[in-house]
Amino acid sequence: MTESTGIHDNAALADLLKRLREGSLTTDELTRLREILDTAPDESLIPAIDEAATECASPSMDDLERLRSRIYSTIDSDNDFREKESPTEEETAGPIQAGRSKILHIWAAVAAVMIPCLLGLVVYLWIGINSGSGLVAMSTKPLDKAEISLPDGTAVNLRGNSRLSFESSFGHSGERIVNLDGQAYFKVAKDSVKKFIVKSPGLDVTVHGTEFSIVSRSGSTYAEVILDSGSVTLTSAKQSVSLTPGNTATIDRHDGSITILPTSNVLKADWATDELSFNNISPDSLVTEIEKAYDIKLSPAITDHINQRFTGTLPWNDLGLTLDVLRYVYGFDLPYQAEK
Amino acid sequence: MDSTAITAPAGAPLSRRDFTVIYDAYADALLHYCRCRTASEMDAEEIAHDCFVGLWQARDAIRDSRAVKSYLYTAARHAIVDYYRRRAASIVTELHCELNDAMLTDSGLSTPVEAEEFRREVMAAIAALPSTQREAINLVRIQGLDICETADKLGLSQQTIKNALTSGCHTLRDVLKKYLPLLMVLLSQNYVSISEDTVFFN
Repeated sequence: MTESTGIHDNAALADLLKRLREGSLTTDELTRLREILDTAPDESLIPAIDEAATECASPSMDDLERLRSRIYSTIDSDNDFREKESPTEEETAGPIQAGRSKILHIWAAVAAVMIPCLLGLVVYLWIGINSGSGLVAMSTKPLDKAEISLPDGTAVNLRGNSRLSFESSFGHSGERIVNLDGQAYFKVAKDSVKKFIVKSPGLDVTVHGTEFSIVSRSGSTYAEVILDSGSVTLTSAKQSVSLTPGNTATIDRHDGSITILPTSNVLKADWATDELSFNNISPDSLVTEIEKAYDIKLSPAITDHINQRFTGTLPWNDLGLTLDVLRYVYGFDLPYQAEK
Repeated sequence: MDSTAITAPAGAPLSRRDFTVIYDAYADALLHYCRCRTASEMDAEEIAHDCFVGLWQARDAIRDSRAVKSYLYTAARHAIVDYYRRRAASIVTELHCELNDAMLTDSGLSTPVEAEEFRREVMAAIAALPSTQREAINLVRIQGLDICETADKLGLSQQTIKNALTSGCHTLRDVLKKYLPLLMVLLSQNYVSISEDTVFFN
C-alpha cells in the first residue's frame, strides 16, 4: 500500500476495516490503517468500505419508528428556534425599520440564551418586553440539556426530555410564573415583590429567591424537589407545605401527599458534571435510586450482584454506561469471571 | 420515490410534509446501507439520524426533489468514512490492539475478546475516571478533537490536558488487566509463560 499518496489496495484496506470492526487488529496494523484513513480523500476510501460491507438484517418497523421519532425530536427543537428567530408573516407586515429597532432593543434588554451542550448548538431566543400574550417554550431532547437565563436573571438548568415555558409577558404582573414538565435546577433571582412560581404536573413550587432542583414529569407517579438554599412552598392537590434547606420533598401525584425527608447522602445531582454522586450508599438504596433516576426496574440478574455499599458517581443520563460502571465496579457478568 | 408525492412547487424549499414523504421513501434503505457498512445497528442509526437531520437543515437550499436521494447517500458515505476515522483513532481501538499484541506475542493466539464487549468495558472505565481525565479522553481520544480545541472547550491549559490524557490512559490500561485471567488460561493451554513486561503491567 502506498498510503502517502492516498492510493491503496482496496482489498487490503477492506480487510483492515473488517478486522477493525472485529477487534482483531494488531498495533502495527492499526498504525497502517490510521495512515491510510488520515491521508486518503473520502472518495478513494468509499470503494474499500463498500467492499468491507457485510450482510445485515433489514431494519424492522420498530427500528424505523424509533429513528423517525429521534429525527423529529431533533428537528422540532430546531424548529422551535427557527420559529422564534424568524418573524412571522404578520410580524413582518409592520414597518420593517421599526421592527428591527425593536428587536435590537429587546436583544440588549432581555436575551435568553439556551445552550444544548451535548450537541454544541447555541440557540438564541428573544422575547419582547412590550409584546402581548404568547408562550415562549423551550424543550430538550432525551440526554440533552440546556442552560437558560430568564428575563429576570433566574438561571435554569434544564435536563433531558424536559419542557419549560412561560408567557412572553413574564414578570410584568405580580408573579413570575414558569411551567415545567421534566427536570430542572433553578437559581432564582431575588425579588421581594414578585413571587417566582414553578407550575408542574400535580405540583406548584412558590419561592422568593432560592436554589432548588425539581423533577416533575407528567408520566411519573412521583415528583421530587431538593432544596439547596432559601425556602419554598410546595402546593399539591392535597396539601401545602414549606420546605427548608437540606430537605427533599417527594410528592405522590396520585393522592397529592407530600413526604419530606432530610437530603441525606443518598442522592445528590451534580448539575455541573452530569453526575449523580453517592456517598457510602447501601446496596438497596443504590438500586432504588438508579431505578428512580431512569424510571426502570432492574432485574435480579443485576441487583443480586450489587451487594456492597457504594461511594462514587454515576452518569445521570446514560443508563447503558451506568450499568457498565456497575458491572465494572461489582465485577459481574463478564466472560472471564467464569474462567476465574 | 415518486417525486410527485412532494407537494412543494418546483424551486420551493421542502415542507415538513415533504420531509415525511422522503423519510418514508428512503429511511429503510438508508439505514440498511449504513448497517451493512458499519456492522453496528447503534452506529448506523446515529449516521442515518444525522443524514436526515442534515437534509432538514439544508432544506432551504434543496430546490429539486430529485437531489434528495443523492444528498442522503452522499452524506451517509462521508459520515461512514468519518466514522471509521474516529473509530481507528479511538483509545478503545488502541487498547484493543495492545491486547491483541500481547495475545499474539505470548500465546500465538488472536484475541477472542469481541470488539463491542471490549468497547463497553473501556467506556465503563472511562466513566469511572476523575472528571478532567474523563473529559480530556472523551474529547481527544473518542471524539477526535485536538489538544488546543479541548483546552479551549474545558477552559484548561494545554499542558493540563496533556497530563490528564497521560494519567487517564495509564489508568485505562488497567482495563486490560481484567482480561489477564483469560490470557492466563490460554497461555496455560499453550504452555507459554507470560512475561512481566506485557502491556498488562504498563
